[in-house]
Amino acid sequence: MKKKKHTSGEMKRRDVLKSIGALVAASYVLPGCRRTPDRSIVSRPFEPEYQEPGKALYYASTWTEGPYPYGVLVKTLDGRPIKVDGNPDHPVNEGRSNAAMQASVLGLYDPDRLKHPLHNNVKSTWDDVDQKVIQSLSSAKRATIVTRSTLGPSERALIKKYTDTFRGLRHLVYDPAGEDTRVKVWSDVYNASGSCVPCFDKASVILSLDSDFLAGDGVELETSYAWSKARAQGLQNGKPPVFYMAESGVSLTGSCADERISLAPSKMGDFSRALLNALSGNSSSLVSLANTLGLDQHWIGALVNDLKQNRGKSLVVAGAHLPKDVQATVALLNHELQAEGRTLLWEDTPELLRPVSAATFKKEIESGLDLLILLGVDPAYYWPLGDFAASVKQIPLVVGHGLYLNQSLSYCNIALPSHHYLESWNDASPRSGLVSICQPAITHLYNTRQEADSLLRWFNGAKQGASFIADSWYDFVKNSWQRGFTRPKVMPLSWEAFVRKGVADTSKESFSPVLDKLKALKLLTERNETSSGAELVIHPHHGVGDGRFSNNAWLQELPHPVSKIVWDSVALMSPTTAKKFGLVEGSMAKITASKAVYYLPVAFQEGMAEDVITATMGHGKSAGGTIEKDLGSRCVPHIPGKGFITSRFAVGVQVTKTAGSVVIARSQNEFSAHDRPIVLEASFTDYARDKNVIDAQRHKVHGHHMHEPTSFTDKYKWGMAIDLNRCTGCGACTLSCQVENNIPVVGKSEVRNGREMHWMRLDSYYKKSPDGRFLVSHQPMLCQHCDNAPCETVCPVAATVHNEQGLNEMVYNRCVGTRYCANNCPYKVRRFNYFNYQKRTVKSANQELMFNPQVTVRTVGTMEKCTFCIQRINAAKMAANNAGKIITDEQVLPACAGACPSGAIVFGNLHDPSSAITKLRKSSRAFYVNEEINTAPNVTYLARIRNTSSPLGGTSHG
Amino acid sequence: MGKMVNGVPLGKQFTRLDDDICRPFESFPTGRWLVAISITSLMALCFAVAAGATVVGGIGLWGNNAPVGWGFGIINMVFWIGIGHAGTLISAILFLLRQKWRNGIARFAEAMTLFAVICAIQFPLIHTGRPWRAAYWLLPAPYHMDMWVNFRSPLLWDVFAFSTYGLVSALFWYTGLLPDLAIARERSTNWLRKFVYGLLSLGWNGSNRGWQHYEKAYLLFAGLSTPLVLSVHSVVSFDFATSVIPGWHTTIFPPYFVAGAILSGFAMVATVIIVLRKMFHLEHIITVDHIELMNKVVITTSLMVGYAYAVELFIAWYSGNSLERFAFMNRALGPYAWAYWIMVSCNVIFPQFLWIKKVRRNLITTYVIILLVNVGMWMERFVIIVTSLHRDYLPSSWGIFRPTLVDMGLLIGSFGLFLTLMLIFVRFLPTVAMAETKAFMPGAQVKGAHHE
Repeated sequence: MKKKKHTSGEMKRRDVLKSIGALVAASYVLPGCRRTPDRSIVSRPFEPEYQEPGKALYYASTWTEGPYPYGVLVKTLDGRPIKVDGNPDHPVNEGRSNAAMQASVLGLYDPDRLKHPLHNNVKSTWDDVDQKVIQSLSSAKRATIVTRSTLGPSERALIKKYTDTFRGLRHLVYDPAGEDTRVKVWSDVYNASGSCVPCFDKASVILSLDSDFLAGDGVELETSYAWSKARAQGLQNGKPPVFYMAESGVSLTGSCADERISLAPSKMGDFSRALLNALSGNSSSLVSLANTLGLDQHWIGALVNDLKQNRGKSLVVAGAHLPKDVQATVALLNHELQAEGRTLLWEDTPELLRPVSAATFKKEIESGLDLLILLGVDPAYYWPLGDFAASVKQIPLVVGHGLYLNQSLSYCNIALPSHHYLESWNDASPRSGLVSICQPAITHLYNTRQEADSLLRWFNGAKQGASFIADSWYDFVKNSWQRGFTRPKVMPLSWEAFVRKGVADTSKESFSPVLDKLKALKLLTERNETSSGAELVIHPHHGVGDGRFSNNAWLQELPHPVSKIVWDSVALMSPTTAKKFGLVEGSMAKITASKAVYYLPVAFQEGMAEDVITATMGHGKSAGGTIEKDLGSRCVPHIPGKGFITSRFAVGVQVTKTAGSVVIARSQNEFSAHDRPIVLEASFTDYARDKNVIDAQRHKVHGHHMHEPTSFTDKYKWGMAIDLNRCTGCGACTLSCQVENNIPVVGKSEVRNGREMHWMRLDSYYKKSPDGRFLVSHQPMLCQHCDNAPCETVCPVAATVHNEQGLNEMVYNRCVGTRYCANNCPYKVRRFNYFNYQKRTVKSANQELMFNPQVTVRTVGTMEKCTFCIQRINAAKMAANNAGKIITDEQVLPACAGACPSGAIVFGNLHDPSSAITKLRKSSRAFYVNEEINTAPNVTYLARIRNTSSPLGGTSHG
Repeated sequence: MGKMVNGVPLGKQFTRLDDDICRPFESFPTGRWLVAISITSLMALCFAVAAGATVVGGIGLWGNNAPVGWGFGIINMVFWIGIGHAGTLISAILFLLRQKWRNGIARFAEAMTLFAVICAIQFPLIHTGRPWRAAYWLLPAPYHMDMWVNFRSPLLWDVFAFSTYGLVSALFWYTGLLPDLAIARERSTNWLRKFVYGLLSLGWNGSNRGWQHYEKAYLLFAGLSTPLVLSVHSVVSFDFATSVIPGWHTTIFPPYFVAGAILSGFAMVATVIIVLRKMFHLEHIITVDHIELMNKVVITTSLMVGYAYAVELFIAWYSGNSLERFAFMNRALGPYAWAYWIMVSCNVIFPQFLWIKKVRRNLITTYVIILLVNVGMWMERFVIIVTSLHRDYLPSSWGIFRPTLVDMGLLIGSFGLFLTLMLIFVRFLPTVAMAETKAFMPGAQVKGAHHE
């Protein structure tokens, strides 16, 4: 048949329809593609300097949310912050990070944040509320501004302007969680404002009295690294430090101690005084004390001996919650041990902000205030004195500024939303000579404003004849730098260079204040009442701190380093103590300490001192975000006085059982290693005598195999080494991995069901040594990338395969979810999406911005696990290939290794003979987990060497 | 019931046999049948709801967790595929061994095999996280990305084993049905029945040639099915035996699984048949002698299973492998010890009562014991799967498996599905092989040289 020829211009029926279709489609699609601005714009032919799609930009900043302002490096991709790591240029944390810092990016995108100003709980505008506040500020006879104790120099300068300008305006710091008896005693006995900085890297003998200095008690990122570095160096030069710990609970720090005993906090005073006597030659009181308390004689003998022989190289630290007499004794002990100026340095801290007690605060707010401004504080949550709402009701105007509509803000007439620190300009100067800048990494996501910015606007609005300070908060921060009242004395950098680097540090004059022995001895006599009953110690929560991060699901789901409890606040006690009070795990206990009553679920913790209960603050909020609201039970510090010796430590505590019980959610439920060679350890004496002591404990594969081992010929073969001698078990790696790899949270009930998703988890094993000591061993556990991977052979659809560089790869698209791989994994590191966890947690479009676009977000029914951060490896490989080079150490760093505060994780190329990993794999301390089943893992563990003279009771070699 | 000749009651006329066997599907459903099917289809509905919820919501609705990746899904799968084995054994192996008594129960048993396989294959699919992908990615089909299945995976071997088994069983069963379908066709008075049975009987005319081909085909299928009795459950056992998990990694698994499958299969045949023979008045065709013979198989396989349990324990001790020892100590004394002891007592101890003739010829005692065996055999799979997984290498990951309502729904629902299919079968198809049974009735065979 001949085809009919088309003539040009002839419109066929089909063509008409086609054109109509195209027109309709275009009318819908085209305007959707382009949202043209209403002013004429000019495009540029090249990518703007700071905008290369898909390429990360890093901004130096400061993590001002936490108790200590560490320097951070914020990774932004296409304009959105997706990861926060430590700033390597910051002299305190030197690139290292902790879990809360890692998790802070979640807070930025939190959909629960207060998103607009509220006036009497009705949505309002900034102009309206500003007007009201300025009016009140101008006319107020008495006003009070309440802040946290951690304020930057610019914020302090601004508040000082307020107190100088407005008569009858006072500034109070209400921070019950931040109260630190140590700091009070230091300033008393040294007659100086500042703090003692322990140098764990310089001490050969360390004694900690209930001080959790590796986690939360002090500047943990600095101490963790110093501590682990000293241990690593000590092992090399044959003189490792010895770390003694006497503690009430079982803290992370205690679990890392070489020689640990449990001691009730009320005995710390007697013990430290007896120790002081023993060091000055009179050991009779120590001997009798040891006898009455039944203390480990061996421990005491070794401690006294070591301290005596290491004067000038010893260090004693005490927990911030311990009473004044203990702190004074510790000051005297350090003096006796000649620690000052050697292992204990003095840091001038620019004008400490002293928190006031709740009683003073109550008196203040009930004294006929006209205006109360709460900046980033939640006193209602901590309020120990009855009804906070009733107290503030009398004040005509209460203004609250915060990230969430928390308990206090819900009582405010005006509740104002704050910027997240990633949206803020600020500065911090935790030490003299050190200033760091906080710069925004993104413009504010919601209709929020920085607290200091509000203060500045209100000040400008109601100046009352005061001199002009600045138009904007940014100018204020910049001016304070340029005028020099925040910058170091020696000006090292320009403003731009400063912001780029994030930190300015000058060498400071060393200053050693002299211990006022008389004052210390006087404090020492301030003995505290001792009474029968249990003792209660309240710590900040390991994840959510004092409660400031309690709406952060990542931190809620971070297991406690020792007890592995998640999503809860519990009363931890030893099983024998619980039995004494008729309690079992999960039963609700009524804990009465003086006038404070706490209702907490009971959880057992082996190894704790008897009659001691430790609890954490930060839970049990009646208002706030959807996560924190009504989660867990409230346990907050109280006013020191009868019963409460310090705000966080009470004696004479009554414990009774009440109705109800809960199931405690733990990510790990079995703590005995059952004598299996999972975590190998040795004492230093054994290791020094025979370097093969670890090797001898290994269950190596013997005999012949049916198959030739796979040969890897690529230029790369990836491997990881984890030094258990350096690992503290803090969990920063877990969190960093979670952020980097878009790992969902599953919630309390799913953890109870055993379905947590962490790719990198921390296993802890408890053991009783032959002489009765309680030992804890931590072991970060992640995919071992076995060369003979049991998971790979069993997958029917080949969704998990080995690559030529030794990586065990997971192909999410291919996975159908048989879970056979997880069953067959001897390390149980494979995680299954039992539900669509991401969909469950991501409730707003903003939250999706948080995801790392370089990592697939997994859906329901798929298996996932550690990839050794393959996205980072590939990025490094591409860069190296383009440069025609080969990747060397440090050019590729998995998220866990990048975060580790103690430098325990080393990653690298096993085919590079000069790489650190190649050397570590040959270490005499190297071992592999489950190596007897010939999985041939690419993760090497380096055994922990405990510097102890007591026997460890190693695993049996069977 | 009187004297038996070749396992068939004496004195039954050929037509009466046809009448008796065809009555259930030629008469209006009895009240008992209607009640029974409404209960079982309600149960089957449970299955549909639970399976639907799982597909939509995720495996999280089950009790599975991090150490225990497999739970009721795989337990039920192994249980049901095991049930099927009795049918194949009866129809194929006993046929080849010329065990004539099998005729009375062969059709039931074969149907049961088919329905059990249908139940079993529900689970591998819905137990995957993404059944919509598993449904075709598990098959070795050409795919535009040149991506093939992993032939090293025992789960893939399962795909082949199950599909082969299902296909062969269905064909075997259907071949055996042909002459009986023709009888049904001939007896039909209603045009619809005549048409349907006529269609299904594939034009069977009872000719000599027809019979010759039929006998050949039946023999061939019997020959094809025989290795399957041993292979299918051996392959299922590889799901466990080829893994590295202590308690799974055992060479005894293939024969142990086959013995267990036959034990559970015979128990299930007896469980169903005792009810049905009563329901449809077939006591004279499926006699107490049949029950007794099946009980003898039960006791034999029970001893085999008991031997396997003992050897497992012995080898765990004898190997000197502490993990292996722990796994078996944990089974017998750990948190799931109750399951282990239910398994041992139901599968090994209680069946020993069948040594007593009175017990094995008494329907009530038999029924109690075989019900216990059913429970015990389900528990065996629970013990193997859950107790091995819940405490493996790293104690840090140990956990506890607790079934959920959805799990129970699937378990009960799978029984519902099975029983519903069974009830539909007895309503529409001849439940006893009429043609074969007739062949062994007195007078059917010409014996000796002389004629009367």
